[in-house]
Amino acid sequence: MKKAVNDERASIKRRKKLDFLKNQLVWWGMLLPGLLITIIFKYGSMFGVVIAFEDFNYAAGGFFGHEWVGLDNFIYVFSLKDFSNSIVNTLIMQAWKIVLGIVVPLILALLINEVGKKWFAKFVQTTFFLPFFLSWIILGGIINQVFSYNGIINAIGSLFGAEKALFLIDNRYFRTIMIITDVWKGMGYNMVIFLAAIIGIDPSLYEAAEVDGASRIRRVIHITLPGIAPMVVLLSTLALGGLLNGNFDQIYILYNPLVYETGDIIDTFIYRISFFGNMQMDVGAAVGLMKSLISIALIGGTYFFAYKKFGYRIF
Amino acid sequence: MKKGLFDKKDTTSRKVFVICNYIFLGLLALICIAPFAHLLALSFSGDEFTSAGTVGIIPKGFTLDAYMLLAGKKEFFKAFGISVLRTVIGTAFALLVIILTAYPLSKSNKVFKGRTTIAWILAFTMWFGGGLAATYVLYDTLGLIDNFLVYIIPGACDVWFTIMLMNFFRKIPKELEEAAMIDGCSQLQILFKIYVPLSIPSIVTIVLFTAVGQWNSWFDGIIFMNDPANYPLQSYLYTLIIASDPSKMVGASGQLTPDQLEALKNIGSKNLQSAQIFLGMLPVTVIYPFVQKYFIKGITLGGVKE
Amino acid sequence: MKKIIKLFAATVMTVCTFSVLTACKNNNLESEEPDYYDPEHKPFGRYDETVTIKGVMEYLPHNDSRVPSNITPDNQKFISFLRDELNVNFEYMWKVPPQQYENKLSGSILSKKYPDILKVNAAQYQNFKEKGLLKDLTETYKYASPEVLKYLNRDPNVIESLKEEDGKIYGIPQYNDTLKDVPVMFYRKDWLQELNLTIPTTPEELFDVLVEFKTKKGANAGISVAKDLVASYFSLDRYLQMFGYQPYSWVDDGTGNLISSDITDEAREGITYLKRLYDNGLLAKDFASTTAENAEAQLKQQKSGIVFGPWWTYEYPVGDLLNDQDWGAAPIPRKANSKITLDRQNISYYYVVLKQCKNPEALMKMINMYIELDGKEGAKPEDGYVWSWCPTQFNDPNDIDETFLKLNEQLKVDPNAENAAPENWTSHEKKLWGAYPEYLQWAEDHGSVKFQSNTFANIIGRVNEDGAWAAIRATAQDNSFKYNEYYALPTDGQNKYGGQISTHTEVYFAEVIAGRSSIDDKGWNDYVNEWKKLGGNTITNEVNEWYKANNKVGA
Repeated sequence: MKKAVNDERASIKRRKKLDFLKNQLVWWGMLLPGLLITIIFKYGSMFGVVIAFEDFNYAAGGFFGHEWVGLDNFIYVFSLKDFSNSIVNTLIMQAWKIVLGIVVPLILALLINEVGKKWFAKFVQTTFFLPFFLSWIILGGIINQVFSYNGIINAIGSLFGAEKALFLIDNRYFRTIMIITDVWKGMGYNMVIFLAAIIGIDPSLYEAAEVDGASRIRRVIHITLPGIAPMVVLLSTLALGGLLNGNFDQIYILYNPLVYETGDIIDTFIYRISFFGNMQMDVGAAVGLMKSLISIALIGGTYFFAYKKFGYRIF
Repeated sequence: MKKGLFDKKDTTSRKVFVICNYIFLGLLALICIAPFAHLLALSFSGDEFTSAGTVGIIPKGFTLDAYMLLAGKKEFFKAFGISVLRTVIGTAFALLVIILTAYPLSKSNKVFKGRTTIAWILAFTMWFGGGLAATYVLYDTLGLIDNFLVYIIPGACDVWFTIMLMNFFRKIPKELEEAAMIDGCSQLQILFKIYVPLSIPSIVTIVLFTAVGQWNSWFDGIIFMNDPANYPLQSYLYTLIIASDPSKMVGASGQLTPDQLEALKNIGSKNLQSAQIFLGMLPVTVIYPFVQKYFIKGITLGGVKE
Repeated sequence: MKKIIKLFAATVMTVCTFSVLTACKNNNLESEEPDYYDPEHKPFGRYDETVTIKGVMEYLPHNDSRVPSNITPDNQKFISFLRDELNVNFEYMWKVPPQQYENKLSGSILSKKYPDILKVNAAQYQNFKEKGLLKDLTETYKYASPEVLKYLNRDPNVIESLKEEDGKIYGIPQYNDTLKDVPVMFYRKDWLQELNLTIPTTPEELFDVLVEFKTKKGANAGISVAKDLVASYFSLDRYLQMFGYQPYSWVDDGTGNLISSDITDEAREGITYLKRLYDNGLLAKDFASTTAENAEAQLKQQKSGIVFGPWWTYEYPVGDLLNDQDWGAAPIPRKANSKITLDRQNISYYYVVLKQCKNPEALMKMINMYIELDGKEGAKPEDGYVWSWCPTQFNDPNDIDETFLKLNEQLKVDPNAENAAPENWTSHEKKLWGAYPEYLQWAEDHGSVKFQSNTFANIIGRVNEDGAWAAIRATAQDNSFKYNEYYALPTDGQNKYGGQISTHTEVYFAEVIAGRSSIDDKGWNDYVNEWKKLGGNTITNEVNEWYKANNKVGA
């Protein structure tokens, strides 16, 4: 009797163990495509970083066997004003884009929520989403026109007696325009998420508040905002990961030498120095490597902080 | 939601707010539509008006010339077709890979040994790459240069989306999985019969992002294709809008000769350009309002889950 | 990118001993007889077995409505001529928009997918040569057809300067008559007459005319300039030449040393003048972002009365406007005693053959073919011939001057162009000659004949005695040039720091003009010091080293 029980326990144990092993195979099988793609395409090209330590000349062919110069390229990079500029610009623009990319859609969602006419709310919601679908190739052409000297912004401005400005070549305006247009392009997405979160709030909460005589503003502050706070925190944390990733497409298509000082981001700087007559691919690789290292430190720090403080983990 | 503009008990300040709100949102909506209207107007305007830059959002010198010309432009339709193909196939393939990758990673370390290591292996690639030149050489070795698959495979396992979906999977109650196991379902069945249907919000988001990304990408086409005949639409538009802008001409030969200029000068017939751009953005804009319903529903579910 | 590297000796100036090329050929250039050809090196010799040649392409769509719609770069007529006549199977390995050319080329070479023939700029030429990628073309030169040989020897110094110490030569240069770099002033003749003004000849007179144009004609921007410092359609350099400053050149400072023009007093004077124009509203407010397209729109809207441009400005962007606006051409105004800076050489690009190619002479044969096919039956756009898609485009460096001389010579005996053009003219010259009677009629009344932008504008610009080319010839007459003395390939320092330095210069100048940076003593000195710090000193030393060693021509 006892033996039978023991046998059964053992067999369950064995079966569990077998299941566990079998499942390991299943997991690996499922991972295979994604893992292969990552290892082949992402890790497969990482040998390219060696050129950051070489006096590299593509005409000689191949990545290896060029003169090894150690950290010379990095030292050279630090002597370039454009490098520190590009880092500062990326940080400033991204910080604003992240903050406004949350705040603006949030306000819009609150405003749309106050709209009584359903068709209007729907219409507005759909149109706000439209720019999201346009490529920067297309938007770049449009933005160039809108902000040109004879463009519509200047036309409106001069109606109010403002002096015409040259927005896209002026270091005072360039970043602002990049931030505004980027937020404008992406605002529909977060707005829809917030709107959905607002709709998801239990209506009885509002009713109770109304009975208690709470004003509309108080209701928004005490019910709506707390209701969507988790979503705001989540989206902000996710956005932080892109702090060093400026929008290459946007900047590359819209900037020009006059606004390198305020507009150049790390990615455009790398591209500019690696190609376009400069062909300093080794220097470009050095900048890229530094960007990666800073990114990892930054994101590692953020997540470590988020984990210690809020118990948030990405995986 | 109320029926009329105002409630009976609305105060004056409330009424002012409501009116301002409508006006503000309406204006903002206008700003979002304006680019589309402008392009549409350009495409229907006469060349003399478009090149003088006087067309706003109403066509001037109405003509269908641009669309007539476009009807005979095989390159445009071919590029369009390639874009559709890469969007459909690319999105479907990416979704499959992401689902298959996210699922095992959503298991705890006890259930799947090594998941954390693999998650880090994937995440590392978000911040670390080998650069364009090395990528080119790699793709060349793998035979992906001038190959349609270059649009589909290398970018298929997007780490960000994988993590997003993985986190979503983890929130799905374990009891469902255990019940299915007792019913004798395999892991693959559990994934596709339980996890995937419950993750529609997340999946719709991924599909939307991937599809828009596929439709809008231009750089890969230009760098990895050997022949403009194989360009997707956005790369094709790039040669039309940006590359043919004489003021942006740079290249091996530097300055253009007058004859080259002559050849270039009229490529930018603006109404033809606008017609192509407009048709280029039409599909996503037309499809979106239909997808929107599911999309918002999906997000709503996600919101409730939060 | 913007820095177009020009390397070149002035055709007009130097007469040297003929190069080896002519010496080794014992031919009569005038003869069209087949027996001219050196039997060993037949310019159009057909290969017995098909030879495959691979090239690459900077792709831009053509916009010639006469070309059949099924024509692609791969099946166009020139490619079939190569196959039928030379038994050369030409293939494009890839085609890419010009902006991504360097990208793609570096990827291709790193992947060891070498094309056979390649068009390269000076920096690439030097780079490839140093890395041993290029094939010696001494033999290849012997295949040049008489016509091509004539073009190559327009300025024998150019070929001579490309020869290595061991006599080897690695590229076939497409160079240009340096007179083509001389800027021309285009002005509204009708306005000038209406306001009773004379053609300005000094910067001060120009200033006064511009003020008049602005106040009386409402041209709110007297000059339209594009954003680039050099090498663009209305780049700033043409205006700076009034003070004898050409950006990115190396001039003798009077003591036998070279100094970068960008930090000379002439540069400062020129920029200060432009700033003055800007402050007085005589320069387009958005000059720094004006594209050629914008500039064209400004002309159309009659917002510009004076434009400094290259010799072909009549063709673009003035073009069609000539029908109702009267534009004249004149030498640019100059400050007393200042001289226009020209390059000694102007090489646009080089054709090279990469080392793995087994038939380097095919390159020369293809160039021969390109010249030979000019305007021939069967090589018209209607036949599917797209010249801008040809892999071996090649032009006579002196083509414009030739056209000017030939047509004016002919007009002396046949002022109304009643007789047919001489047989040996190029297709373009014949085209202009053919259109001449109609042009005369148009010039008469501007109404009975429709304006033809592609011929009439050419005639006005290239042929007329008061046209753009004539203005250049007039400029050339009064000893008005000095030279950029550095015409070797870019130094190591230039390769390394050149991009940074030119950006620094461009940004500073644009900011000064727009009033955002100061050009007082402190501002200027800061600029110069930063210029030196960025690597300018290194380059100055390198350039002077070269100058000391090679200064055989004399200043």
